Amino acid sequence: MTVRTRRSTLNSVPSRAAVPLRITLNGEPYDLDEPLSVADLLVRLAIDPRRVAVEHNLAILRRPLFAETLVHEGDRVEIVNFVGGG
Amino acid sequence: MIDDLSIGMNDTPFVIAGRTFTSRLIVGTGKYPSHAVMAQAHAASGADMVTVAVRRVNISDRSKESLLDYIDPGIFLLPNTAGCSTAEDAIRTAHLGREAGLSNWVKLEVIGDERTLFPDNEALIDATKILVRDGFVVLPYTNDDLIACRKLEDAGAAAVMPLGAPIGSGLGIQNVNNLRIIREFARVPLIVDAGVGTASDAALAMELGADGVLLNTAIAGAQDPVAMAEAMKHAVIAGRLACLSGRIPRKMYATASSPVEGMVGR
Repeated sequence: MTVRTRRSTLNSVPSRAAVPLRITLNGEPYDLDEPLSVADLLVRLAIDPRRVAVEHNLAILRRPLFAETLVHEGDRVEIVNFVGGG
Repeated sequence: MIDDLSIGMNDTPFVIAGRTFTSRLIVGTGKYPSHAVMAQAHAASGADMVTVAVRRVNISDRSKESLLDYIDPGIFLLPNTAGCSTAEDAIRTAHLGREAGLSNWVKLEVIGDERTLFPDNEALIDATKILVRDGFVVLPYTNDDLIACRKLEDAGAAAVMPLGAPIGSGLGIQNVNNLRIIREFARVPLIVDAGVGTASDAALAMELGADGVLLNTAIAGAQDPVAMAEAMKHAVIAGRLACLSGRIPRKMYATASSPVEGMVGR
């Protein structure tokens, strides 16, 4: 739907050991110890990647890209799945 | 069994966008008392397509069972855009649904009013155009308006799905003549979506010439969802058979069924 745009590195926090970074995960603030791949984030959340769709900074992230896509400070991540509906 | 009756008729297969379905009943997955009851109701309904909603994963509570564990793998999943009130939101949700699922089909809803859940036609038509361009098979939930249905067809919709009454109202088919008119002109499958309360409503929709019926609450909200699911299966088959059978004309007065000649005592 939309073209993924690379986040600018200009506004990233200077790297220090164990500085937590904050992302917005499903609309809520969520802290990580370090930049993480989407695949690792799903592991950490105990979510089966085959059953969800992920949006990274408003762009759909195809499943094959989960492992190579890093989540950085300030990123917006949406993880959705199917629930009951009519 | 009733199943065998439907095969005996000279019915055409139920085909949407080149895909053939064995059942003309499409059911939902929402509002059931439990996933287990839903699974039983699905089996009883005979449906081979069910609708699902696309929602955020619950991050804090991962204990909930996955809906998909309770849907027969042989059933085709139709993600919806329920709750979306703009074309943009509906398009975004459709794309997420395509990514989460295995198909490019979407039941497109763009809601224009929260109380009635009536569709926003203009946004619905816009979203249909864009999603068709994006490669989707679009099944739009629409109101019972011939012109809207025509515009949806022109936009590339694979079916038109007018309501029979407001979503979840259970009022039954409130717009018989509008549905008849849409039937008359529709060039794509016509599926009555929403408003069904009980089996006779589903039968009526089919008698009016609908190609299929989509419902959720009438089964999920019934006291016995599994029994109601079976009732809906029979109703859709019965309505379809009746539609194909050519009903008798309505007459003002009685016409005797038994011979008037040869009566004792005359």
